[in-house]
Amino acid sequence: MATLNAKQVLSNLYGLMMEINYYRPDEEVQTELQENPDAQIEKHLVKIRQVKAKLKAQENSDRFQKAIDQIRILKERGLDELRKLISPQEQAQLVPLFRKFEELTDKDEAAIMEDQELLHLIELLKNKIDEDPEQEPS
Amino acid sequence: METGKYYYTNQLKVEKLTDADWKVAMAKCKEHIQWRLRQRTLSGAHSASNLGADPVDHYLGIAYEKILAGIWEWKDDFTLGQQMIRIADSYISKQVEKTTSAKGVAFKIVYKDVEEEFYDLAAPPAGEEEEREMERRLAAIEKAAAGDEDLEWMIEGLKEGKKRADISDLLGIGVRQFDKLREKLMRRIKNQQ
Repeated sequence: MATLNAKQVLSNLYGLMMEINYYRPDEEVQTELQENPDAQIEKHLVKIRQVKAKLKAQENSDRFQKAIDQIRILKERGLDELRKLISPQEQAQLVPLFRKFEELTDKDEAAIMEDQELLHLIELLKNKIDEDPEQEPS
Repeated sequence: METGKYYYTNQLKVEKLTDADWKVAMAKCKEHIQWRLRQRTLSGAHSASNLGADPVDHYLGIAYEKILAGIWEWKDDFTLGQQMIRIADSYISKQVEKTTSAKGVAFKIVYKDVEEEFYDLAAPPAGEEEEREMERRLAAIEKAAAGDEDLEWMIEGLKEGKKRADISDLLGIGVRQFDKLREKLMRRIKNQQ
C-alpha cells in the first residue's frame, strides 16, 4: 500500500479521532464532563432551554390561531348549514355544544383553548366541511 | 423560529431528555466539530471569518436547533450525540461547498453518511511551503507518540490509510480498547506543547 503524504496522514488522524469519538459510550463522556465541566456547553444548555421555551410559546400561539381561524370559517358558514353536515344522532350528542358554539362571542375566543369538547366540535365540523362535495373552492 | 415536519416526532424524544443527556450529546458534537474543522482547514476551505461567529458555537447551535425545531429528523438508529454530529457535519460540508463554489451561495442540503466520510482524504499539499508545514505538524505528533509501541503502530497504520477497525486488528486488540489510545495520544500531544 502506498505511503500517504503528511497532509493526508494528518487528515486520516483527524478522521480516526472523529470515528473514535462517534462511538464513545455516553457514560464515559458524562464521567469526563463531571470531572471537567465545560463552560461552552453550559452556555449552550441555557440556549437550549430558551429555544425550547420559544418553540413551546410559538406552538401554543399557532394552535390558538388555528382554532380561531376555524371558528371564523364555521361562523361564516352559518349554524343551520353546519347542522346539515352531521347526522341527527351526532346532532343529539352535540346539541349542548352547538348551543355553546352559537353563543360564542369574540370575547370568549380566548377561553376556547381550555374547552376540549368545543375544540372537538370545531374540528369535527371543519372535517365535515372539508369532506362536503358541495363546498365551493375558496 | 420556523418549525419543520419532524417537530412533533422529535418533540416526543426531546421531552424525555435530561440536562445530562444534552451535555453529553453536545460534548460529542463539539469534539467532532473541532476535529472536522481541523481536517477541513488543512486545505484552507474553512475559516471562522466566513461565519461571523466562533465556528464551534455556530455549528453546535445549528445541530440542536434543527432537532428542536424539527427541521431534521432525529432517527431512531442514532443517539442524540450521533444525530447532532450528522447535522453539524452536513452543515460544515455545505460551508466548504459554499466557500469553494464559484457561485457561492447556491447549494442544497446533502444528506451524507458521516460514518463513511470520517477519512476525508485531503488533496496533496498546494506547494512546498504547505508540504513543509504538514511535515512539521506530523513530526510533532510522531514525537509525542514515540516510545509507546501502540501509538507508534497507530501512526504507521494511518500512514498506510488504515482505519479504526484495521489498526485495532493490527494491534491485536478490540476497538473499545483501541479507543483508549486516543486519550493517551492527546495527553502526550498536550504535554509536549
